[in-house]
Amino acid sequence: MNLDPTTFLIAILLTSIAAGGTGAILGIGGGMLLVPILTMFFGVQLHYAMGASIVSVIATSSGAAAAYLGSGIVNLRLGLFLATATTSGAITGAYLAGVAPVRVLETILGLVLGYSAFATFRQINVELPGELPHSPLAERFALGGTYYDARLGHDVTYRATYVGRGYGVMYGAGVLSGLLGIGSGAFKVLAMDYFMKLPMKVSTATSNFMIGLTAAASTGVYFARGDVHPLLATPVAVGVLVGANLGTRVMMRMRNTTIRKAFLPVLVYLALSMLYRGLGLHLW
Amino acid sequence: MVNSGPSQPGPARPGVDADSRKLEVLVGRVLFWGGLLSIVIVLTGFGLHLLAGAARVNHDVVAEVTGPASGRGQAPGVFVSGAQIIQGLGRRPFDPLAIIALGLVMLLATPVLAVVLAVPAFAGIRDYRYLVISLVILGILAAGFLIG
Repeated sequence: MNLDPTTFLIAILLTSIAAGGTGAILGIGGGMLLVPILTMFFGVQLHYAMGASIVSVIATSSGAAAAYLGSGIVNLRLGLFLATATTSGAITGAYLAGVAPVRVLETILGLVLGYSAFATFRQINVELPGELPHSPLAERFALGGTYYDARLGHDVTYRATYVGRGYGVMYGAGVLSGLLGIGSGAFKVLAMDYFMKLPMKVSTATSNFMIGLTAAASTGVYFARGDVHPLLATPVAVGVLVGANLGTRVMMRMRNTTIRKAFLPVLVYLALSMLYRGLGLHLW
Repeated sequence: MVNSGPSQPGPARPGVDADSRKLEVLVGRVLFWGGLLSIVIVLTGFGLHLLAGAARVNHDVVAEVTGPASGRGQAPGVFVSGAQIIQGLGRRPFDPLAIIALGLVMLLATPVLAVVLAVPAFAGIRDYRYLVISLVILGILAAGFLIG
């Protein structure tokens, strides 16, 4: 796009608002949408796009985590325990992002977007887990707790299981976050909800707390490398923050998943575009 | 943690002692106010940048971020260390982009500060396991900043 510089920055602000809103509605975060959009439509270099995106991830996560911590759904100890995996993964990923060829990063981003599109199709399981196997690690680190479920109208007591597997997936989520400049919240929720069998609400809330900490770890590396550009990061971070707040409000009023499904083609399109770029198939 | 006592809706939760709950609230406040203050500083820097006549700088910056890969780290308007930001703030006329960079660094420091404050809190409630876990996280973060 050949835009006048000021128009360019305004266009990025508006695009970031849209991406933040769409990300909140789809529950995948704005960063994963913004990185491909900034590189494909605005011609931003991949490293600057990732640097701006990771900053927006911290901003959005801080706000969301603050709200969840206030209402008592976050399991802080669980979050800290697993953050040892995500932060070390993030540093690994951020380091690799500096040495990996752009096309490899594009291919991985395409695959992650594709997985997110697939995961969005699946219905969220709201049932509570039944009898679970005993986990010595969960015992040792007191990885359980109680929260008040407003929808069910009573307290729910839970305990983590398969902690080793969950920890491994968390490390992977951290690597992806650092490698691609995204929050990778979907993978953190996957680790807690699917692998560790924790309640969805606890997983989502705790993941939000961890996203900020994980992103802070990789942002340090991005920053020192000169990939965080102040003038690009400002419209992106502010835009995604505003968009995410608007998107969350829209989502609260949504009665069904129709709107989510309407956004799915966007996700599929971005996934395929990134894969084509990464694999060097120049179709458009 | 064992679920004991009568069920209570809202913030006072069975199985979560009052001290842990206090820490959650503290961490939540740090994230909220730290995030808000950082964004206000970023926006202040951006506003001053626009007032200072942004056109030429914007042109250079857009050319850099969309241009072919150049010597990264030396790009116009990029700050890669605290020392550079302080230098930018000390310059006359000062560089508004340094204020944005300061806000961005504060944003990144916000979740880290939350963990820093958890250290004395865990010491206070004698939860030494989580005291160590918090220190491990801070160690990993420090290692990242050093290799970065």
